[in-house]
Amino acid sequence: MLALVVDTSTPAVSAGLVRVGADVQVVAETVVVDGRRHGELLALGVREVLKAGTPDLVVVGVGPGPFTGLRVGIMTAAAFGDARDLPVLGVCSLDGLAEPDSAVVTDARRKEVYWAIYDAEGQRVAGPHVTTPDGAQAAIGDRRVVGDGALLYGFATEQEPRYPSVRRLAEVAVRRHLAGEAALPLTPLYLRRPDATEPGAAKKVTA
Amino acid sequence: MPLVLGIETSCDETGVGIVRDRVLLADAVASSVDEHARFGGVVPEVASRAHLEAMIPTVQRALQTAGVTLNDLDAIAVTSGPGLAGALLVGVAAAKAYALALDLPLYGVNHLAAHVAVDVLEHGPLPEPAIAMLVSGGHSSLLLVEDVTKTLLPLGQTVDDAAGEAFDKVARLLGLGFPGGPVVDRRARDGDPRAIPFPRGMLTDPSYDVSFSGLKTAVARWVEKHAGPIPVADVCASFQEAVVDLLTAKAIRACRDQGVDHLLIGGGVAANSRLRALAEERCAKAGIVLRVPRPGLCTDNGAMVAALGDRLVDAGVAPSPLDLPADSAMPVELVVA
Repeated sequence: MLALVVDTSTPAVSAGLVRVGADVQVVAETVVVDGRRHGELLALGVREVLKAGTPDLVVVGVGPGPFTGLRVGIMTAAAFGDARDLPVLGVCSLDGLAEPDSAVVTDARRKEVYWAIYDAEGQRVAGPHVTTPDGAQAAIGDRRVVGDGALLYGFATEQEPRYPSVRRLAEVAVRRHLAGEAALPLTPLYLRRPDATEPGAAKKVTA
Repeated sequence: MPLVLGIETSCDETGVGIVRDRVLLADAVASSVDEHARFGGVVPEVASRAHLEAMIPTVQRALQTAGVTLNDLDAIAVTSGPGLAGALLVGVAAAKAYALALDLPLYGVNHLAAHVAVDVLEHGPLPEPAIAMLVSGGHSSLLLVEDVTKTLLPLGQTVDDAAGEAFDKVARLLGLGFPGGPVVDRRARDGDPRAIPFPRGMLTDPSYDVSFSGLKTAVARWVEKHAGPIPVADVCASFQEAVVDLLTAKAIRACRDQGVDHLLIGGGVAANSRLRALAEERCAKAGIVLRVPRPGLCTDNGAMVAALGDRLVDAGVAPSPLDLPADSAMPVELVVA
């Protein structure tokens, strides 16, 4: 099965074409790290990887991640799947970073992190959550930490891998799909409510 | 005869329209206005979330109504600006993915030019040059339209609040809810437009600019100082009269100065019944032909984007590149990005 994979949950704008069979092979991949240009860059990346083959399905990281960029990836995957009549599988973006016995920590901005914990089989056993770095540290303990939040918030002195890999996202999504597990819906794992408050009484304009 | 799908997500309406050779085949709109009501205005993050959820179902609904499939399309057009950045980005991402997956040309178009172009669906080709007055919650612009497929020349605009924003603010201070346009229009029908002499900001200013912030404050001041129950209908009628008097006076003057005999009014405020009536009256007197699309085509929709896309394909205009950005401040002179 050939999967078109996109992820925009971090500053990495990632597109890939990944063959998932007995083994997993990245046929084509583009990654540009530019957290402010997901909207401009993603379609170029998709066009590039499509030169290497015709996908049978679409896999997309649904976050958690900064909302504006995240929506670009999900909207792109959903519309591409709609146009080509392909299944579109949503997968937690943090799963694309996970290693056995690790914690994934990514930057949630506003001095917070997104995080999840994985067991020895690489299965997610906690998260995804959004908390302060201290809150995450308390839950993570002394596990190995990967992701771009690791160095940023002092969880580790090195943080490779920093961003979700298209290879890992495809593997996780397709294996679950073949095992009959439902994919995540094509809606971002926001984890936060919109930042809006209802207005109070109007200000007086007369003295 | 090209078949064009247009996508609009610049504010709180997810619009998808389908046009073939100046004929409207479908105009599907999903609005998130109810989700914004309790905040008293459009919340960008709420609008962006709603666009993502509504996009695919709205595309499907438009295709069904038009009786066509995605494979029948010849081009994709999308509002790439101006508007709310996060909201625009959802529509642009969808349009790019459809264009890429279906191998179609992509046109990133100007929202204001689309408001002008939509009238062709109802009244046929717009004689150019024409003056266009676009009035909504986000815009109040007077434009000279020489060729809607090439460029629009800005003559004037609001120096502070947009016209629709003034309606929202006045409705809020009268406790009438959000959005303010339809409810103020309705209440004004039982009121006296001459009851309270509210100011017409910049009416005598030689420019084509307008101002509504002083008017809004004048209404607030009057309401606060008024003893006894507020005559809501009279306040609505008098406020509305001030807005439409100013707007139509400037539009007619622009037509005369520029020697243009066609005036087009678009945008959400063009749905206002008093604006339509006064504009008709004054245009008739001045020998100007007035064109106002029906209310459903004045508010934001995908049909207007498809209508402009159809004209662009027809005129042989080059499509946009795939790295097309969503441009929240897209200049009105730029019709295609």
